[in-house]
Amino acid sequence: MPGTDAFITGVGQSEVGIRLQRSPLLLTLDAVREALTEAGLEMRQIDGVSTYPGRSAAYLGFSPIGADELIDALGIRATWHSGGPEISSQLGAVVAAAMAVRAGQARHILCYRTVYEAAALSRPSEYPALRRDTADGYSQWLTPFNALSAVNWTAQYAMRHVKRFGMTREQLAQIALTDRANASLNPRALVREPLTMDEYLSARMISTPLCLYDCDRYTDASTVLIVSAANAINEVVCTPIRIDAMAGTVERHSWDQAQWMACYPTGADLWKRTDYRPSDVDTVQLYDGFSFQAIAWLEGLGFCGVGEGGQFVEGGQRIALHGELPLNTFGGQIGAGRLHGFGFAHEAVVQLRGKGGQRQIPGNPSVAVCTSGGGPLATALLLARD
Amino acid sequence: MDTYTVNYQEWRPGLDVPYVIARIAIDGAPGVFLTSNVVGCAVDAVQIDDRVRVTFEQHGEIYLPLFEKTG
Repeated sequence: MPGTDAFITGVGQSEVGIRLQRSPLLLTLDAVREALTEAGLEMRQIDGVSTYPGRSAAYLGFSPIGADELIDALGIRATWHSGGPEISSQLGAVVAAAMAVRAGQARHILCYRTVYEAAALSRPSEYPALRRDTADGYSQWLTPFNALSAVNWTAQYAMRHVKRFGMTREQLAQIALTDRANASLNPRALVREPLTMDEYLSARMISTPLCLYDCDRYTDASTVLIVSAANAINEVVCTPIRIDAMAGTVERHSWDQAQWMACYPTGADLWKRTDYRPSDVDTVQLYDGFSFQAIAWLEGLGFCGVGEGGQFVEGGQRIALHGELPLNTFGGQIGAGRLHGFGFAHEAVVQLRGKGGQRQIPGNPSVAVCTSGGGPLATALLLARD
Repeated sequence: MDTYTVNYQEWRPGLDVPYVIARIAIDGAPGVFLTSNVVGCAVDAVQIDDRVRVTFEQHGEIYLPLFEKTG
């Protein structure tokens, strides 16, 4: 197998909630501690930090803790670190870390994503909202027409599937229904009550064809993954999960100029870098900030043809916990909370280690795909337990 | 009209909903799209592949290119 000689070792997650009082730095520390404990590592063995999108000064709730701040707070002697938004979406931070350990720049890299968007909304004096009274960059092409949210931009791709390929609301609903069913088995999930088809179909529209339950919601949490070098995995006590292949292809970094969302070229490029095939995959953890993104990822990754995603998930059995391709077994972002990309990698590792508890998929899974983004930016990781 | 969505969410107080957000493919400029609004018709009267023409809405010195259905 062509490998990147990088492994995910310890993973951790803080409390996940809405309007948490615990500070974002302490939430990050909680997740770091859990990851270190699982790996059997001590802080002094950490020599790298990687995050996305770095400290977001204009909108602190989106990303309150920068890599520099974490290095300082934890007393890390970092021989390599990275944190910034211009990367192939959230899990691009893991791609960067994998390349860094492969290049010998560090041995154990803390990769993290801390979100504080719900708390920020409730404490605007501490965490001011993003100012939207000026439009520049990409927003100058969208804001004047009140195309104000990513839901508007994603909905247009979803509408094309409705009109061109006949995707129905009942098919689309299977993402939210599957997420919410799985979230009910995840003690840390944000929303633990299952969703019924009737509730879904009677929900209010946000931006057609996407309704309220097609959207994730602001969450406060931190998720950590430790990326370790091949020559350092003898130092960890947990089963290392090998990063077999990585992809993050961008064609047009603009929501409205790309004919296809970035998950399509990214999914195609992932398979050029591995000997595994889609039929080898035991579970998929696919970004679903909006439900349609998971459908597009199924197509982009070649689990079905372009335009066939709706039929692929129809009825929900295939993607259910005990189906042939279990999807978003932790609840996705719609059920487990807007962990913003890192939750998908965290869950892929949990499942490959057989640590899913009530939500563990059967059959001793050894290969998983996890993704982040999918719109103008996308990242896919193929993970394997050897 | 390459694709569209009807927005129902009142993102800010006073926002007049619902309205059509559409991705307009420009005649003679393959691969170039404008995100805009389709105005002058009911929100449920739009379809992918509808032909539209530009109409400008003036805001001070700024003219926003909006679109309306032809025929």
